[in-house]
Amino acid sequence: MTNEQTEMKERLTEELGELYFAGAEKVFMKAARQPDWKQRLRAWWNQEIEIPLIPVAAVCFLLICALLLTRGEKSPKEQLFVHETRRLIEVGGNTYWIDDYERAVTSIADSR
Amino acid sequence: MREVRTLLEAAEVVARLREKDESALRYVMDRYGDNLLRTAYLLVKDRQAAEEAVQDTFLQAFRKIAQLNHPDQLHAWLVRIVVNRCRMQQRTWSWRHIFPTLGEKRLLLESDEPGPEEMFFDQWQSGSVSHAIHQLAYNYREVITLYYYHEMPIAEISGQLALNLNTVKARLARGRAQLKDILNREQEARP
Repeated sequence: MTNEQTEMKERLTEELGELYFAGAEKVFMKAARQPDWKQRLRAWWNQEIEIPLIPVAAVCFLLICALLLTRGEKSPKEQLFVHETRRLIEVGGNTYWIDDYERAVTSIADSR
Repeated sequence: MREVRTLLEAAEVVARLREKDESALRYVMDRYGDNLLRTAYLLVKDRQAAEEAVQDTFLQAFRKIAQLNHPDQLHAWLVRIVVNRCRMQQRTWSWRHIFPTLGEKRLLLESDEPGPEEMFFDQWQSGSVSHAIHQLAYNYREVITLYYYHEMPIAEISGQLALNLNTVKARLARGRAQLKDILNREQEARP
């Protein structure tokens, strides 16, 4: 125990000397009755839990990264569907998607 | 000799508490009540809230006395319960601030502006160590209260608060520095 501790303890004892516990009867009253569901619920709700910051932050970071990376990317099933419905054709030595080619031909025909 | 008597006394009191003897509970409240109330007051800054925390502490101790394995540590065990109770009150307080409607009535009554009585009390208390401790953040208040008021060594504080030894050291160092600043400022401001 240091001198500082002793001195502070003395000052605190002097300052708080007027405070006396006067709730003994209330404790007996509370002890006589069983806690109701509200008190049980409050006790459960006020339980202290500790959340380890580093692992939780790491998991969140990985989840966000995974979301950002997969966003905009089509699933292999979707990609396969696209390849099945689209076909490449060769016209005049150039290769086009058939739907793009048909759309271009239609727009030229319409403009005439 | 005195220590041996205290140990025997603690063992006997705990044995009687286990038998749900109310006179033993009264004895414990008479013996430790004031000390726990002053501890709680330093932590929660409010006389009424401190009184409630201490009542709940004795109630919990009476109901769960079987969990106390070493009767000679009765006082330390009670201090741990009261510290946890005060923490719980602080948490409830913060919930009301996150969801203001939960405590709307109470918040309306508790104006931020201090009344004349509060201002007088603040002025009278200004410069006191307890008033300075009340101005610290809760984390520092806990460590400072146990260190100065209970004169606990750092290792014991670490056990009481279930905190790492280095965390306690860091909080104590910061808390002491802030406490010193507050006391110096208040001393300079005094006429």
